[in-house]
Amino acid sequence: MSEISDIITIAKVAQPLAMAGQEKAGLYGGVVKRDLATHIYCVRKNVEWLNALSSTDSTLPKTARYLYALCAPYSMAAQVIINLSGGGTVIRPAVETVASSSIGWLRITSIDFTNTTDYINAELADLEYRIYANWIARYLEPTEWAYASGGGFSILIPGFDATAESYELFIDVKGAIPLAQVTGVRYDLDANAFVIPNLHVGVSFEEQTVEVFPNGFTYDWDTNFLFSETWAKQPDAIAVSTLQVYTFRFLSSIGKWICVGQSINVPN
Amino acid sequence: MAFEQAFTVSQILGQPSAVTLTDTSTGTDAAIATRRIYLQTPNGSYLVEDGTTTIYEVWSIAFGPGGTKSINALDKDYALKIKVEWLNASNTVLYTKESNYGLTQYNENFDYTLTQRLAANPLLANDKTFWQNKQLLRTAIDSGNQAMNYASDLFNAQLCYEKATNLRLNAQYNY
Repeated sequence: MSEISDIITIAKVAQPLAMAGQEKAGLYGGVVKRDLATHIYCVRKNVEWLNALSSTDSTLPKTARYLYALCAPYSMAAQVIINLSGGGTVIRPAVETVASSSIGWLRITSIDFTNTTDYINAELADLEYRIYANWIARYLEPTEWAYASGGGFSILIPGFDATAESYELFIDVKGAIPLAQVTGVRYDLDANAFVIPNLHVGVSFEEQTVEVFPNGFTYDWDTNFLFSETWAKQPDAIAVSTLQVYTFRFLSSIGKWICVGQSINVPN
Repeated sequence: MAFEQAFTVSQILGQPSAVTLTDTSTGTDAAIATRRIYLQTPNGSYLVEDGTTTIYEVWSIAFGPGGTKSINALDKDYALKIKVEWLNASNTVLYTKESNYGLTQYNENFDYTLTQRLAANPLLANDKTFWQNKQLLRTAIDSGNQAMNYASDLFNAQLCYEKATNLRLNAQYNY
């Protein structure tokens, strides 16, 4: 079966699951659209009609992806039912390939928005990312959203209202691109140490531990780690003639540290 | 092998005004000289192409039996009783075959464009006028098809298709 015919089959099973789900969910249908089953049906009939007449029609992938997105709450269950006797495979909708440089994904829903269109999260300040809109099964175009100052973004799609509708978005975090330049790092001859102002976090990859240093930290290579560009611990501090400082931010929502700043090499 | 008359009916994407018949008869009858196609609407009238003065279209058999015939006569969706006659050289009907068909490409195509608009702008689903009328359009088409498939009820099927056609022709108010 082609992918589109798979989606049509999934929709045929997701439709009664959606209808039954409404009956089971009680008041407000458990936040799933109350007419989801009708919605799936109306769109599935269109996709099925054109797929039967012209399966290579150039508009079919987009409308089929839309149909698959509609089935989202029940698509996994539908696939299990369809493949009940054979195990089968999970259908992945044809979406834009995710770049390998992706650091992590952050899932947000309507309740995370601060108002109708704005999602504010200081952790995302100065980071580059893309937004995957699950209800339309594609990444938002650059004209459909904008970075918000201080971290986060605003959805610019006309009619978008997070206070009125249930949306699900995934933030594909690429990192701080470009890295902010860490300045002020110098070698103090009297103290025989590097002085690193505004260094918030140092990370030992070797020991998989995280150390948080205060601002204005003075590097002491007897007790702390030094990191080169290759992120390796330097066992012999005396041999190190330069220092490059990286700053990190912990994204609690993703559960990862990401590098947000880098200094130039500072000689001792 | 005795002649067994049969035909199929289809529509081609992008040509909603045309209906294509394919002769799937088996066997032979040397007496067959020509064929006629009748497209009868539920009110008893017949659809023919512009310029045709009869109530039927002639389906030449000059190149032998079988083959296809496309008739460009639909100005909207129809529930049709389609009859094909196989005649001898004296225009005496030797064989007849008729069936009922719902030809819905005008409205199906229009409904698909609505889904394309939804896929491009899913928030349209929040537009009550748009969404309710899209559901109504789908229901009207399906109801017509149900009337055809389960009851061969051309009259009520046509009324359902007319409802869908009315939604389509007044799209500026409905969507």
